[in-house]
Amino acid sequence: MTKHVIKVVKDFDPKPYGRTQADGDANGTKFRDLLLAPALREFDKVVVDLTGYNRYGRSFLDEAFGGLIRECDFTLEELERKLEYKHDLVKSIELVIRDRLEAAERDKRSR
Amino acid sequence: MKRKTTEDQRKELHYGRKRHQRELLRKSRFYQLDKPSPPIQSLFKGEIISAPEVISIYEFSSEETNFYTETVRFSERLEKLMAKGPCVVDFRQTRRVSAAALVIVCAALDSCERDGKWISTVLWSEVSPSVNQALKRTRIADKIKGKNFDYNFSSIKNLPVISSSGNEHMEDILDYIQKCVYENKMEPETEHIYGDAVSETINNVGLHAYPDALASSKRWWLLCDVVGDQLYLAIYDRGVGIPKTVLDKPWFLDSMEKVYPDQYGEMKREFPELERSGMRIFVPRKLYDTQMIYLSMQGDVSGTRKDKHGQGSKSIKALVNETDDGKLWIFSNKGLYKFYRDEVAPELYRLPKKMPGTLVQWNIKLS
Repeated sequence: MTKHVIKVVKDFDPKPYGRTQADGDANGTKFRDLLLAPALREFDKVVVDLTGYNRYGRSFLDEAFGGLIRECDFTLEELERKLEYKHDLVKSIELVIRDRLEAAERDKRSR
Repeated sequence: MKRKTTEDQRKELHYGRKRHQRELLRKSRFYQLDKPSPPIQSLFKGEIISAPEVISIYEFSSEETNFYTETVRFSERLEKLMAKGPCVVDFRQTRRVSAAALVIVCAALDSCERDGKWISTVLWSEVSPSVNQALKRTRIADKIKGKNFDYNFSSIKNLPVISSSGNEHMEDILDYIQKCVYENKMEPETEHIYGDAVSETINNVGLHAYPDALASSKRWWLLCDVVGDQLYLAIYDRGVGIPKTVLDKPWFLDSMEKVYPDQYGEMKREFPELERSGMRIFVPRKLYDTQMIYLSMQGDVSGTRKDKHGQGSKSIKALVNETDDGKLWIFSNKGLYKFYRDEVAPELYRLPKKMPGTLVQWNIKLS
């Protein structure tokens, strides 16, 4: 089984912010399309470590994670198997990601 | 004794002559002690702009204390007259100011496009030293005088009104709250709540205020202030306002039908020939601005979930929900929305005068 770890502050940007390119270079769409989605396609298991920055906004998290289901054709069931996300100090960030993944799955089903 | 030089002797003679001439002039003068002092107009050059007795946006319900309207009018006059030439901004009778109102005043000063580099004058409050302190601390007095300054966050004890666009300075503001308000003892979870709320509010400025503008021109003003055990944070933009932009949300009509079925039904009966999308332009006839803000804060309640946006309102509410005694105020156009916590119905008010843009303010009790 192949496993890949993405450390957001090291591999992407020390201060991620916003949803799209209009919000700046460290946006959620860019993180998802350049790092997360390709890694999920290539490896059996991907761990996203968000530790190192505590100020993540919901827009970034929604676009980076919820967008996997909305824009990249992943399913919640598939992501539950392949994707792990963690923040060592702020557990509410993990809860926001969970919430956005479930919301994206509901959106997809209601379409 | 030091010997006088020729130059000293020449100066002494010159000033002596002047003194003598002044004395001659005054000999024929008759001084009337009870004579009223000359009007301000004759002492200073420029238009006089009198500040209200109370600069505040919280009181608007009665005619006697409609400080809200006076404050908005004052900021409009500042913007209009300061653009034309030097002015005298008269705070002599101002006895109270609120932080949020000063953000609006500051934005008006920044937004007036001065044709020249003239200097205006500030007449300080004669009745309240705290008003003068607030004018200095927020740098409003400096702005009136036309002074330029940069923000140096590392050496600031009290933040002035910060003006920025996009997410520039966002981290500096959060660093300030972390260092100066929480004295570097902020828990990571608390830091996330603040980070999420501030970043989403700033992000929302782009969505509800300047929907078609570039990030660099999405300008906002922010003031962060601690009074007693309360942290006040006000973010203001001069965009089109929430009631204008919420209309274009894909879920808007579904949500309106669910939350305001009577008004929605009326609209359908009155305009049966119109497609649903065509009805949008008639919504402002049926709903007040405050109801539109309410719908915007509720987000997509239709169940169709047609919009991935709307996370900002959740983040902003979370900050207030998760702290004791929290309060959220949203002024936008002619509406005011007040939120306390999820279990309590928000209060909706109609404002007597249009607020140019949107002001979002939190009051949070510091833990």
